[in-house]
Amino acid sequence: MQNIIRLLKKFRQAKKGVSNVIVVMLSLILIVLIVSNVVLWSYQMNQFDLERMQENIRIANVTRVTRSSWFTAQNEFLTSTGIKLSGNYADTRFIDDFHETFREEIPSISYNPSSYTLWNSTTLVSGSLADLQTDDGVYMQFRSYPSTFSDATETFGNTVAGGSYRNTEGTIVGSVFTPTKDGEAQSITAYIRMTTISKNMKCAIYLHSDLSLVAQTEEKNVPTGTAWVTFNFPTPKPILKANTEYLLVAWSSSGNGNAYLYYTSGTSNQGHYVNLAYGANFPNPMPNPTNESRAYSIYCTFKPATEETVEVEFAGTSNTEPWINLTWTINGYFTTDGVTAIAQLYNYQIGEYPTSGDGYMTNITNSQTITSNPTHFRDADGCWKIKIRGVKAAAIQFELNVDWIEFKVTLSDIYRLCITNNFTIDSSTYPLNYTHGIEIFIRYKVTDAAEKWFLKAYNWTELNFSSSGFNTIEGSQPAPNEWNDYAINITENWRSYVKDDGTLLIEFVDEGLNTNQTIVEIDFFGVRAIIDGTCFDLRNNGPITTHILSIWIINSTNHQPYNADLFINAGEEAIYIRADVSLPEEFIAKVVTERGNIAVFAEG
Amino acid sequence: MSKTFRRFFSDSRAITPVLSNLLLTVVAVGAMAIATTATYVITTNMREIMSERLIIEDLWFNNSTGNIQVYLRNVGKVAIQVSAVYVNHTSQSFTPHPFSLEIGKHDWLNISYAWNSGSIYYIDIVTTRGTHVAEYYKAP
Repeated sequence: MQNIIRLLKKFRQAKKGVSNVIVVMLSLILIVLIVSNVVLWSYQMNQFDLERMQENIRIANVTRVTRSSWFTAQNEFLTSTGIKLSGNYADTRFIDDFHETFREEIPSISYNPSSYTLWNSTTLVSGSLADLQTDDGVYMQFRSYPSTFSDATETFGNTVAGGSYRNTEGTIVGSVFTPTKDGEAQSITAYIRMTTISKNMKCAIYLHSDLSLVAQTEEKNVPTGTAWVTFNFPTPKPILKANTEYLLVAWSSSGNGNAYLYYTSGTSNQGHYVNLAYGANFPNPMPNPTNESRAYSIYCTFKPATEETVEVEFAGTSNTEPWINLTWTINGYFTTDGVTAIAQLYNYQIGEYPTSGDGYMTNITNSQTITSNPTHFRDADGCWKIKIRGVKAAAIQFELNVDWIEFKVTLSDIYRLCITNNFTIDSSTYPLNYTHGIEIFIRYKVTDAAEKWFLKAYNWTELNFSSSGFNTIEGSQPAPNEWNDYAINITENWRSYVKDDGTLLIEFVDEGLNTNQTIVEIDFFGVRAIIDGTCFDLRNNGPITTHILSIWIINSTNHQPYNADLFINAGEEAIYIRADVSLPEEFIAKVVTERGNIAVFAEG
Repeated sequence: MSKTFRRFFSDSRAITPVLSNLLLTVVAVGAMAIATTATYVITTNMREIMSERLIIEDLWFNNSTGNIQVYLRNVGKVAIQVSAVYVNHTSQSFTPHPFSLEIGKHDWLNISYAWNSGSIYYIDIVTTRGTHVAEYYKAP
């Protein structure tokens, strides 16, 4: 004991002890690193080995399969003829108590206008023809124009003879004025002093907003002297809009003396003039004028409007087949009351718009069905046209809003049903390279068995629905009010019906013979691939998820591995179908897991 | 200022301890670097040996070629290379040579051996790290 105490004291007193401790600590760290590294990796690999021992994969059965699983509709069916009554596409995925119901309808085709023409001075305010295709509250808007005018005349402009003047020789001179009413301009009168010799003069109206020419008057040879001179507008006379700024101008040819236009004091920038050599016509638009505060003694005489009209013609095209009837529909309204509306469908037989009966409506929120000679309302090319006219017996501008125009024709009196939908085969599971054909199957019930029903597939090469290459093109003759199974196999040219992504467009259509309306219920509608593949019935009996990386098909002449990528949860079973694996007569099948375990199945 | 520098450089009292400590530090760091490298090398080798896993996925006594074909899969954590193949404890040539498999890879290894139908063979495949994968197989 005393020796130990002595040694400890000696160790404590020795300064070399610090270095010893450091060396020992570093050595310990290294040892710990080595050991922990080894232990860690040993643990990991032991864990791997343990899991490998626990893994228990079993092949319960391996069988040849000639069909893939069914691929059903993923979206609602499109009905080109007929309507859906109840259910939805999800009801056609399984053979069960749920089904989707459709009803045959008289086939009809709807058309919408493809062009329009503004009659007289009607203007387009907003919208386009696309707004007329659906009854959705989105409008095409047109504005009325003054169409009838009073016999009495009124004026706007400066009727006061001014005391000062500007020469109009080679100069367009005038001022801006605003009428308070719609009307038809008759003439322009200017207070002119012509000196030395007479000269040719004329007047014009410009729209002040963009200096575009509205109209110009007759030309007159104005004699010498001072007087109000009136220049008349030729026919058709220009239409003026109320509360719109117009520029009234005069223009004289050059000669000895002057051609003065008098003025009074005006508002800022009311007066305009621009130097331009006299010509046969006023420039359009007016070149950039100089402004001044003058109201030239010039005014316009016009007849105030007493009636506003809006008038638009819509045109479209249709087919040239025989029609049973024709229904034309207009949905629109006027923005003011008291507008007399007329909608007319052009009759090509009589060569004019009807004024009564078929092709004539007095309401623009209405439809009319024409059963007598409906083809009179199209030309030889299937063209048709509809005119809408609204007249208000007052000088109040208004708009016509058109929401929807439809021209619908009924082709026959046979009730038809035609539904289509896309079906997509999972090409990742069933590669098209290993597919030998397509099977289409429908289970349906009809209320009337007077006609056959047909399945067709869209040929993506020929761009039409076809049954070429089908094992039968006879169609399905159903028994009424009971479930009928109808299956089609396509083994010839089937690739034309399948897009590269595995999509088929299938059509189910009636024969087109029945004048009785039939209700059709569909319980199941699907497609599947015809393959020569293998189905593995696998069971993971172990407590951990297994990952299968490889499958083998072995016979006396070949040992063939196939890559796989299949996870099976603990305790679960999996049906694994491989379209690219063909089974020989006698074989041994194996699956290999990621952990290195192998399950073997020997036939028999 | 110059007086201060002169006095600092003329004072030789602490030079020996500083130099000795510096040398000790350099030696200690060097020793640790060598030790760490040695540790890494030693543990890496051990880790690779421990991590090596190889399975014979399939063995085919191929009638058409007369050889034995072995399908190997590397299910371990390191790449492997086959160094020798024994049939009934006799070393045999094999192709491709060298035969290497990265992690998760798999391929055929052909053993040039004239097998007899109905005979039992002990196939032993050895990697460069010494791992053996061996099993008895009966020729069809």
